[in-house]
Order: sequence, then C-alpha cells, then structure tokens
Amino acid sequence: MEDLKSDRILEIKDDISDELRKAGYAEIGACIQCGNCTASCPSGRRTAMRTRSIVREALLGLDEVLSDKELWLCTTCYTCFERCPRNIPITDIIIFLRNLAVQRGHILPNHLNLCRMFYDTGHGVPINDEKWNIMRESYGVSRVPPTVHAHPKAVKEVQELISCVGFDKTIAWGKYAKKEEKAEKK
Amino acid sequence: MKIGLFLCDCGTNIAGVLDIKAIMEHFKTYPEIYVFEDKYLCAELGLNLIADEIKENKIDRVVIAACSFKLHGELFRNSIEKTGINRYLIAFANIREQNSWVHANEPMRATEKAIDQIDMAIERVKLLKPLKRRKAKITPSVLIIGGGIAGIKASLQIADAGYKVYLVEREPTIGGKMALFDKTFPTLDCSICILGPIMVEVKDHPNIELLTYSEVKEVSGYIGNFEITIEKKPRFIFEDKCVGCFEICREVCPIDVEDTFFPRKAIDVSYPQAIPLIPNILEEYCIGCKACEIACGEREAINFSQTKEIKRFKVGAIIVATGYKTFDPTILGEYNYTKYPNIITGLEMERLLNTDGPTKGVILKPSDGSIPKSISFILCVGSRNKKINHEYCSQVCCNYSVKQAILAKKQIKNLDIMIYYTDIRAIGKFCEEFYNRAREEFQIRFIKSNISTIIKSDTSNELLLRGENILDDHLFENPTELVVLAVGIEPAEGTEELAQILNISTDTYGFLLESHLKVRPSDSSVKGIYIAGAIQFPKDIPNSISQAESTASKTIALLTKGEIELDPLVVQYNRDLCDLCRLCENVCVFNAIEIENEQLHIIEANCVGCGACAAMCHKNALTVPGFTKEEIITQLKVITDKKKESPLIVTFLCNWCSYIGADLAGTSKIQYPTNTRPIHVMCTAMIDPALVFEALFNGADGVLIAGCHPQDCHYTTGFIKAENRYESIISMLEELKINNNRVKIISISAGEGQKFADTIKEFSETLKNLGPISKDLKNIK
Repeated sequence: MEDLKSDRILEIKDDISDELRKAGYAEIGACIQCGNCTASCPSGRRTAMRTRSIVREALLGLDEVLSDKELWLCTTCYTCFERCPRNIPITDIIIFLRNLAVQRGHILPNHLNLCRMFYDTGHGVPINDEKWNIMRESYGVSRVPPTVHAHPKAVKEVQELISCVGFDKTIAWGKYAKKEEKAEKK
Repeated sequence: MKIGLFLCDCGTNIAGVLDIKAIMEHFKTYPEIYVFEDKYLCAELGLNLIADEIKENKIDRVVIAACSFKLHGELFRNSIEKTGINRYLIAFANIREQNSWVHANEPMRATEKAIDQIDMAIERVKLLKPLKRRKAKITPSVLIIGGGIAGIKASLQIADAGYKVYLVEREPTIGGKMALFDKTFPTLDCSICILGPIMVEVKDHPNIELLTYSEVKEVSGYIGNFEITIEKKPRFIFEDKCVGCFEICREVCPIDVEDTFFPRKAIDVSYPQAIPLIPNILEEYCIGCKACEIACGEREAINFSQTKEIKRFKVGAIIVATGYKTFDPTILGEYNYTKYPNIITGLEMERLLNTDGPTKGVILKPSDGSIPKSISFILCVGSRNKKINHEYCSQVCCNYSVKQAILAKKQIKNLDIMIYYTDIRAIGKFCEEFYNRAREEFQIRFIKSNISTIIKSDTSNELLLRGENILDDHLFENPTELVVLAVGIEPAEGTEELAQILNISTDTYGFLLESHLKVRPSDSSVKGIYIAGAIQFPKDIPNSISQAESTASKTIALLTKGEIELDPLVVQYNRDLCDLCRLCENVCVFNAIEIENEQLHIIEANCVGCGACAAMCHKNALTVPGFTKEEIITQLKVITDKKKESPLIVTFLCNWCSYIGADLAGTSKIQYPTNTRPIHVMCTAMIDPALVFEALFNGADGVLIAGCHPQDCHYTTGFIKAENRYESIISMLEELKINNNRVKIISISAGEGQKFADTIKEFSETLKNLGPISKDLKNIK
C-alpha cells in the first residue's frame, strides 16, 4: 500500500492569501465556494477558466494560481462580482493576482512582447508598418503622429519612468526575455 | 462619604485586555475609595463580595466597573439595595462593551481609557442623590399584534391564565403563514389540521377579543399602562349578523380576483378554515352590483356603507408577533422570476401543494396547466447574500424545499427532482433524518451548485439552469420544466412603521431587536413590550411556538405582580431658582409642565424624563436626577483635565438607541480608536449647548452627539430638538471662529454597531486633520 503523505496545503509557505489581505482584499476569506462566479463567467463558458478555482487556489496559497494561463482569460466584465453572494470583488482580485504573477516572473510571451514594445517605442501597439504612415498621409494628417513616435527623445523619458517604478526589473528585462524566447523556439 | 469601587475581570473578557492591577493600584491612592476586584462580579460569589465589603467597610456609594449597565445594572442595584444603600447611589463604568471588547489590540490606551471611565463614574456617584421608586398599577390585559401561530399560542396561554387578551390581526383571518402551508416538516402532518382547531379555540375563548382586519395606529404610555388605538378596516359585513355561510354570497359574485396562487371573488373568505368565518368585500374590485346583498336576503348581513372604526383600550403589556414575509426574487434579475411563469417561489409551491389552493393540491405548471416532468429547487435565494443585505441564513428554506420535493415525488410518478444547494442546513429535531429520507427513500438528487442564472431554452419550452457543479469543476446548463426558488425570510411588511409606533428598535435587517440575544431574547428595547416568533429572526414553527410560550409566561409573570416599580426619572423642580421665563413650557410635548397664576407645576404622571426642559432652563431650576448639568460637567472635567488622547472625543450617547448601538459594537467586537470618552444621557434633547462648549473650552478636540433616528426617538421629538440645538451650536462655533466640524450630531440606532465604530473612526480622522482644539481657542482671545 502506498504511504499516505501529508496534505501539501500544510506545506505551503508562500501565502498568497496573506498578500491579498495586505492589499485590502480580506473579503476573499468569506468565500463559501458556491460556484456562482464560475457559472456567471462568460469567458469560462468557452475557455478553461474556472473563477471559483482561482479564488480557492488563492485562498489556499497554491502557487499554480499564479502560473496557470487561466488567470489571463478573465475579460474583467465584473459579472462574478455582481452576483457574488459574499460581495467579494473577484475581478479586482484577479487583477491583483495578475500583478503578483508578473512580479514573480509569470508572464505570457505575448504580454512580454507588449511590454518590450512599450519599453522600446513608448507604445504598446506602435506604428511598425510603413502602410500606416501612407494611410495617415492619404487622410491629410502628418505621417508620424505627434506622440512618442515623433519625439524619439521622449522614448528615453518613457524608459526612465519605467525603470523609476521598477517595472523593468519586475519583468526581469533582458535575461528573462531571452529565456522566454529560447523556450518559445523550442 | 465612602465609595466602594468594584472591578470585574469578567474572566478574560476584561482582564485579558485591560491591566486590572494597574487600575487597582491607581485607585488605591484615592483616600475615599475602597477598591475590590473579582473574577466575575455578577456571579453569586461576586455579589456576596460586594455585599460583605459594603457592610464591613461601611461603604455608602458604589461604582461598578464591569460590563454595560444595560446587561447587569439592575442586578447590581438590587444587590446594593439589600445592604441598605439606596439603589440610585451607584454609577457604572462600562469597561467591557465600550472598552476591552473594542480596543483589544491597544491594551495600554484601553487601560488609560478605563481609568478615565472609572474616574468619571466616581465623580458622578459623589453627586448622586437617593431617590424613591415610583409605583404604578398594571392593567391586567395584553395586546398581541399578529395572529399567526406565535400570536395565537401566546394569546391562548395568557387568556388561560385569566387575563384579557386583545389579538390584533391585519388580515381578515388569523392563522398567518402557517395556514397557507400544506404539510409541515419534518413530520409531514397537515398544517391546517394542527392549526385549525387552535384557531377555533381562540375564537371561542372568553378572554380573547379578536380584532381582525385591524391595525395598531397609536401606542402611548409605559410598562403596565399602555394606551392603544386600533383601526379596523371595513369588511362591509355586519360581523354579528353574518353566520359564515359564505358560499351563498360568493356564488353570486361576478368578479373573479385573478391571482394564480391566491384566487378569490370580490366577496369571499381567505380560505374555508378562516377565523372568523366572515367574508370581506374587496373595495378595489367590487363593482357594487349588490348581487350578494340580495343573495344574503333576510339576514341583511351585508353593509355597503360600513367605514373604518377606531377602537381604544388600555393594556399592561404588548407582544409583537407579526412574523415574516418571503423574499421578493425580482430584485435578483438573473433569475427572471417575473419573465417566465414556470419560475415560482417556495410559498407559491406551497399553494400548489395545498388541497385548498388554486389547483386543489395538484402540481401544475403555471404556463399551461400541465403536469411537470421535472422540478428544480434553487436554495439560498435571498439568503446568505451580503450583496442585498441578507447576510443571514433564513433557517427554513432547506427544510421546506426537502419537504416540497418529497411531496412532489409522492404525487407525480417518475418525476425528476434536483435540489441545487450551497450548503444543506437541515436544522431542527428530526430534520437531518428527514433530509436523509429524501435522498434514500425518494431518490431526490442534490447538486452542490449556486445557480447563476435561469434562461429559456431556444429549442424547447424548458428552462435552463446555468451553474457549476462544484464537486467536479464542471459547467452545466440543465433543462427543467418547473423551477422553485427557495426564497428566504424577511421581516413582515410594515415592521419599520410598527417599530416606530411602539418606539422599539430594529436590527440591521429590519427584524425586531431583542434586549439581549442570549439572556433576554424575547424582550424588546422597551420595557413591557415583548417579541415572539419570526419577527425577531427567521424561525420554523416549533421555535416560533417555543418563543411565543416563553413570552406569554413572561407577560403573565408581569401581570400577576399587579403593581410595578418604576425608575423615578422625572424632572425635579426648584421653585427658589425659577424666574418663570416660561422657556420650558413650550418645549415639553408631554404636557408635564403647567404654569398657572405665576406658579409652575410639574405633572409627574405625564413627565417621561427626557430632560428637554432642563436643557432649556438657564437657572437650573429644572433637573433630571442623575443627569444634572453638574453631574455631566464633573464627568467632562475628568476627561479634559487629564486629556490623555489627541484628538480627544467626548461622545454623548442616548439611552435608547446609541448607547445600545455602542454596546453592540462591543458585543460584535468591532474595533475602533480609544480616543473617545462616552457619556450616557437619557436623550440627546437633554444636552444643553453650554455642555458642548464646556467640553471644547476645557480641551476636548471634538464632541459627538449620538441619538436615535428622528422617527425612532423614544421621546417622540427628542432628537429633533437636539438637531435644532445643534444648528445654534454651529452658528455659535462660527462666531467664535472654532471649526464647526468639531461638533457632530448623528443618528445611531440600537442595531448599528458598525455605524458607531465607523463614525468614531471617521470623526477621529477629521479631528486629526483639524489639529488640537488649542489652535482654535487662540482665536477667541
């Protein structure tokens, strides 16, 4: 007979629910796991997202809540919050968990690309195709819009701001990105 | 003068937070104080200690530093009275509800606050004067409001004891909700078969006067002597002439009042077992064809010109047993209750199951009248839901749904039944067994899921329930033909108005607030008014009856005494000081002050002791014993002389609402800052603006005046008077260039503990931003 091991919940040290409490989301403790959030979730009906499981894992401090891709499938429609009988701001909690996830190095490649784009150009969605410039011209506006694009020096300012708030470190700029790229190539 | 200070540890409730030793050491340095401490002062041993020490040390005044005087105040008064000290020579320091329980994380500051509180009590007790209790006769009759099962049982018990009972019921028949049910859980015995005979007993009892179709309009007076005004709606029937052969008039009535679950004619009885068995005509439906009058013939029992009647009488006690109403699920839009006829509530299901119901007990779908092949029950609709301020569990829905599921299963072969639940709470004797039977014997399926929405199928007439099966993380859309929403329980319609008429308190959900949840569950916040049944909190039938019977016993015990001793809290008049300015005359709404031939008289019988007149009296000729300006100023001095906190808040708490609200914050352990010093007053109307300035000038950074909500005021217009005075306080503050945010007036009911804590927190923040009062006082020079 296989030996019984103690519940791994007992072994968890990293307490995500503590972080949530500190951030002012103590209400999460009142969750009774009724499942109304999952059943209300328009994303969950089409994807693997299970809102209740996210809340449960966060409460128990299970690390996979941060690493699972599910966390990023929420459309922030707030229906779960609206119907939650315990009045738990679930959507806000999911956004908080996303921040926590990124801080701990869990970021999806696409999001990372977006961040890099932002760091490099000052835009999450930059004008990186000549056809847009041509189209702008055809409408009679300047080829380059009067944003960071028109002021290359301002990019430096953006980058400075990003490093001021520590966002470059948060996403482990460079080293982390390369690792991700390698992983992707594989 | 020798003062005995008795400190209570209350186990660890007080001693676990406050440093009792330090407090004792502090007060031992006072020459006139004897300090004693006990683990539980309220226990036999503690009370004996008090008595022994009083005798041994020849103590003549007592300070009790313990729990709220609202809990054991009378007990301590009785104890010192036995030793020969006047029962009014005692003061209390509430160091539990308003200290240790709300400052659990700040033991040092809490201890300092306790020392202040005790100092205040010591200074106050020095000024107290012995008083004599008033005696009043008790009218040997009782008013019972609500003719449901609780009101009925209480009526019978009190009437059996030989006292007159006025049973007032708003509906045309007594019986309440229980009369509408088919069977009762967990025994499945027929509801009306148990209730019917008891209803008849009520009708036939010589000591019960039944007032149906009537409502309480006015109540005045006090324990033992309440004056009641009842309004009786017109039935358009001579009750003495009607013999209850209601088929005759009903048959000829051409008007069907269309209601899926409660159908009737314009002239009809509620149901065949109605008591009294007299029909009523619904004015809004009757077309005045008078066919019923002709059918009634020689009896001439129908009277179209009847109008409402007013009835007045006196009683010694009142029992409120107005029960509940079911939750209206339209507020939860996702259930589409009004959109699809095949979504019904538990009470409507009860009507379908009832043999006297619209379908004669056959379960039919309201949409097309066919028999459903599947029924789904959704539990916790409107219960355990913080979003709609229904955080409580309604106690009965699990059980009644199990019952309805079993009854449906018995009636329809091969019926598919699902019960969607969050948690099953089969509370009550034999109820868990009942729930097990539903699973074992009747194969009812239970699915752990809180349904998120009910929609209609695109392809069939079925409804779809959308949910997550919690046990396997699986999303579903389950089809069903009939949905029963197990709606929860709310306080009866009009409870708020009734609470205002009676001047009793409600809790955060609108249920009537009991005096103490554990030891006085049937006492309201007003002496002589009791509560029974589901108006206190959701209850099933057995529990409602238990409370009704205990309340009846309490009432009988009161009436049997024949006479009651009342606190002599009436205004006292000093002729020598009075300059007959007549300011007091108009402020009294109870006609207790009379000025004739240059002489002022206090009519004690009318005085309620609110002190509104005393606050107006610039000569101090009028005083309320225990609450004189001198007695309040001496407490203010204690607070401001030491000024241990900054910002320092002086909080006046009215006796009937806010003091109890502050106590509730304590019993609920809601934490708030220690920088408030509570002063108990009978009514906010007795606060002279001079007292507020006394506090500010001596160093208090802010003054909070907390009283009832204007409509709940125990003295009718007390809080409104306080608000008017607040206006003048504000303008005076402006004149003195003191920031007017330093004085705040607020309504906090007995059920609003959270609000009290929040108010203190917010007010502290405001005062912090304003800085110390000394800044503002500089302006005055």
